[in-house]
Amino acid sequence: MIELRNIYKAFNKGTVDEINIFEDFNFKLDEGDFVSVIGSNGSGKSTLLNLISGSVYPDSGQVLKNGEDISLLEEYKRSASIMRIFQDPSLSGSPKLTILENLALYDSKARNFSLRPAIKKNRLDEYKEMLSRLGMGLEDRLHDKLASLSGGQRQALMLVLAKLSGDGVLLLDEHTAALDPKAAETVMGLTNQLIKELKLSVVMVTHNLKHALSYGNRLVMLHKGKYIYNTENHVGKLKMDEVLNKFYETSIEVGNSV
Amino acid sequence: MDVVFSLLLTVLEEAFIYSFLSLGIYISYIILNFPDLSVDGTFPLGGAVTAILLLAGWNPLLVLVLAFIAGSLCGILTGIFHTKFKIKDLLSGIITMTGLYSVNLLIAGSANVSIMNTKTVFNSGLGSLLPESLKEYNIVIIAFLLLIIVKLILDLFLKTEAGLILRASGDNKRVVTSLGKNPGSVIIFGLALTNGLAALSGAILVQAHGYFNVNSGIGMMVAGLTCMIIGNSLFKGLSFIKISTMAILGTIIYKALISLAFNLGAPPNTLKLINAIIFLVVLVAREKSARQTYIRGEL
Repeated sequence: MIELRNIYKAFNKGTVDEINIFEDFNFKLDEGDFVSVIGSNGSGKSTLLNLISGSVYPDSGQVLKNGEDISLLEEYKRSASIMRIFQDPSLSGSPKLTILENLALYDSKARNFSLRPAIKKNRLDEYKEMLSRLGMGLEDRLHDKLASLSGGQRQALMLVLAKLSGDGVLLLDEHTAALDPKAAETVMGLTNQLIKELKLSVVMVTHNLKHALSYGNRLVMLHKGKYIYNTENHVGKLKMDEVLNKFYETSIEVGNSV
Repeated sequence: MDVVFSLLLTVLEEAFIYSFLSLGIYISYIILNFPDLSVDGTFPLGGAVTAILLLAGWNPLLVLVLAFIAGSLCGILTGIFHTKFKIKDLLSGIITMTGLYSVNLLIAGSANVSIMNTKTVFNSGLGSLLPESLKEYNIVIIAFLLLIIVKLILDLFLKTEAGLILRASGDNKRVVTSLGKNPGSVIIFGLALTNGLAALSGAILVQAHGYFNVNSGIGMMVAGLTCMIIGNSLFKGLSFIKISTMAILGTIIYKALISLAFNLGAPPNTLKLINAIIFLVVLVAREKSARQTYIRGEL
C-alpha cells in the first residue's frame, strides 16, 4: 500500500548540526497492516511519518502509494487518503468550532469548495450514535466548542473524524502521549476498535512500550534510522524485558536519560 | 435635543459605512489571524473606482459590485505574495498598500475628485423610492440596508462548507491540510473577501460624501481592527450575538468615541492621534481583562 524505497534524508545539511536520519532506508506498509513504531529521540520515527504524510520530502529515494510515486506530492493532496492524528490534542480539529461543526467539516472532506450548508440535519443521528460509542457523553455536547474538551476527549473525537473521512491510511503520531494514563488507555482501546472496524492500514509511533507490544501485527524499533526490530506478529511473543533492554542500550548510547 | 439627534445620526451614518470595513477585518484578523494592511490601499481603491465610474454615468449599484471585485483582486495579490512567495503577512499587505497609493491616483486622475450631482445609491434607485419625510435620512437608511444584506450573506456563507473551511483555517492550518485542501488558497480567498469589503466600504463612503480623497485609506486597518476588538471584547460573553454583529456594534461605539472627542474640543488634525490612542487603550484593556479572567480561573 505504502512503500518507502532507498530513502536518504538529512537535516541541517552543510552545517555542523548535519544529521543523517535515513541512509538507504526501506519500509513497507501492506493493506491492513498495523505497525507500531518505537525508538528513542532522533531514531527517525517521526521522520518516517512525515515522509509518508508529505510534510517532509526525501533527499532521494521514493515514496510509493499503491505503486504510484508520491515522493513530491504536496501534503494536502495526500490527505485525501492519509489521515494523521498528532500528539498535541490542540493540533487536532478546529478549537473555535463546535463539535458538530468539526464533524460536519470532516464529513464533507472529499468535496470541493461548496456553498451547501455545512451541517446536514439528516446526519445528526449518525453523529450522535458515533459519539455515544466513545462513552464520554460528547453526544450531548454537540454545540460546545472543541476548545472546551479535555485532551482525551479531543483525541477520541479525532478518531471519529478519521472515521467520517473514511481514510485508507491512518498515521498516529504518539497520539496518547499527552494524555493521563487512564485517558491514554481509553483512547488506545477506541483506536484499536476503529482500526479493526474500518480495516485501516496504520503506522503508530508511540513512546508507550506496552501499547506497542500489545497492539498491531508488526513492531518496528528504530535507532539512528536503522531497524533494531522489524518483527511480524509480535503480540504475545516479544517480551517487555527484552525490548526494554534493547531500548535502554540504544537510548543510553545517544545520551537520552533513562 | 436636536443637536444630540443630528450627532447620533452622523455617528450611525459613519458607522454603517465603515462597518463593511470592520466585517472585512473580521475575516482577515479574527478568522484568518492575518493582520492585512492592504485594506489601507483597497479602501480608497474602492473610492477611486467609484468616483470615475459614477462620473462616467454608470449604475451606482453596479459600481459598488465592481469596487468589491477590484478590492478582491488586490486581496488575491496580497494572498499570493504571502502564500506563494512566502513573504511575511504584514509585509505582503504593505507591498499592496504602497503600490495601490499610486494606482489609486492613476485611476482617479487626481488626489481629490468631486462627484457632486452624479447618481448614487442614495439618490437614485432604492434611494429615490424613500418617502419625502425620510429623504434627509437617505444615507443612514440605505447604508443600513446594504449593511444588513451584506452581513446576512456573510453569516450565511460562514455556515456553508466553504465558510467552515475558512473558519477552521485561521484556527488550525493542519485541519485544512488534513481535509485535503490547499491552505494557501483558503488564505487567498479570505483576503479577497476582506479587501472586497474594504473597497465596498470606500465606495459607499464616496457615494455618501460626494467626493474621493486618495488619503482616505490611511489608518483604515487600525481603525477597523479597533472597531472589531471593541465589539468583540464588550460582547464576547453574549454567545447569542454573532461576531459580525459585534463588529458592527464595535464600529458604532468607535465612531461615537471619535465624535465625542471632537465635540469635547479636539482639533480636526488630531483624528489619527485619537485613533491611535483609542487603539492603544483598547489593546491594553483587553490584555488586562484577559489576565483577570486567567487569574480568576475562568479560562
